[in-house]
Amino acid sequence: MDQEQFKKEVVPLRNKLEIYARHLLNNPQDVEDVVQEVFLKMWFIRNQLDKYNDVGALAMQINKNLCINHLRTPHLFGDEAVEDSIEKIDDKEDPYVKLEHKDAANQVIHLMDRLPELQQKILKMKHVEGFEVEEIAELTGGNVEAVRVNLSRARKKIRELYLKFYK
Amino acid sequence: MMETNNYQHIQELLNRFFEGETTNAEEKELYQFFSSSELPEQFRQYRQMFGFFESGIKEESEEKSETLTIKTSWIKTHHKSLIWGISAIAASFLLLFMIGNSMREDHFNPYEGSYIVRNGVKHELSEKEAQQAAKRMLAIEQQQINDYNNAMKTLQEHKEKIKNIKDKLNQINQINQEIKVNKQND
Repeated sequence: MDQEQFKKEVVPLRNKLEIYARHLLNNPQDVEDVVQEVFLKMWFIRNQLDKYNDVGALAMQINKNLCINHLRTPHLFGDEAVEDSIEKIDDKEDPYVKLEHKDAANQVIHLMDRLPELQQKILKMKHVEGFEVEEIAELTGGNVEAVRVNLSRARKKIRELYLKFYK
Repeated sequence: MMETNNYQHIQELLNRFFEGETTNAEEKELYQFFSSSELPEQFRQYRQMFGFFESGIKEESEEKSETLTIKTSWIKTHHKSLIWGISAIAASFLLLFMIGNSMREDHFNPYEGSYIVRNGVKHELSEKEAQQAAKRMLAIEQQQINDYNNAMKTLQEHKEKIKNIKDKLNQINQINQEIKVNKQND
């Protein structure tokens, strides 16, 4: 499925997804985040979407699962997740742990895993696929501001992690 | 003066970068600036981070998808040998099962400590007795085979005799018929 097809067939599902998510989640910001993540997940598997009989049903299923995840483990989606991991890194008494941290700092590789899924996806859209924020907003059917907020959060978290690592 | 202006510009871009407001072109400018060899003190801490934004994220996601494809391709390439392996195991089980079954038909095989119940009384066998019993059983079996062969032989002989008699009867009948024909002709 190419970009045009995605915009025609997947993005219009947004209304349905939002209504459903609003039933389960109280916070409008959470609703926006979940729906954004649904679209980004769908985008990254766009090549396989033709295999599904009903793309709408797939989107609804992802939407439902993400909502449930949100309710079960809200801390994995907010800002706390990163703070937790930073605290763990910051424990500098054990020399082995210290060495490990140095390794971790040298291999930047696991930085992305410390971010919530949605922020990882947005960073990938921006820095790997090279989309502008406006284009990402188009693909998720939302407004530019909602995408910008999550991109900003992701970058600030990366900055936070780097400043901790490299001091 | 030019430089401080430039630094101000970079600082502004940096702020907008963290707010998610920069365009791809402006981000390229930042990457370029932070990869230059001489950075003023206040920007130095961001050098590695911009390396991450420029190429680290891409590398990381490529690495992930690579491990994913390796996993799937392993299954794909080993698909056939997996099937062969499983069928080989199944075949060897079948073979073992068949051999085991044919072994079980194996007859009376006494050993030391075996016993025979004769008229409700249990007789244990010593090693010597067991060997003797085994020999005797073997002899009996041999005898049975011989008997069977003999019986088959006599049966065969009888069959041959009967066949001879039948042949002869046929000959007599033929001769009789010939005589009849001859008489009619006369």
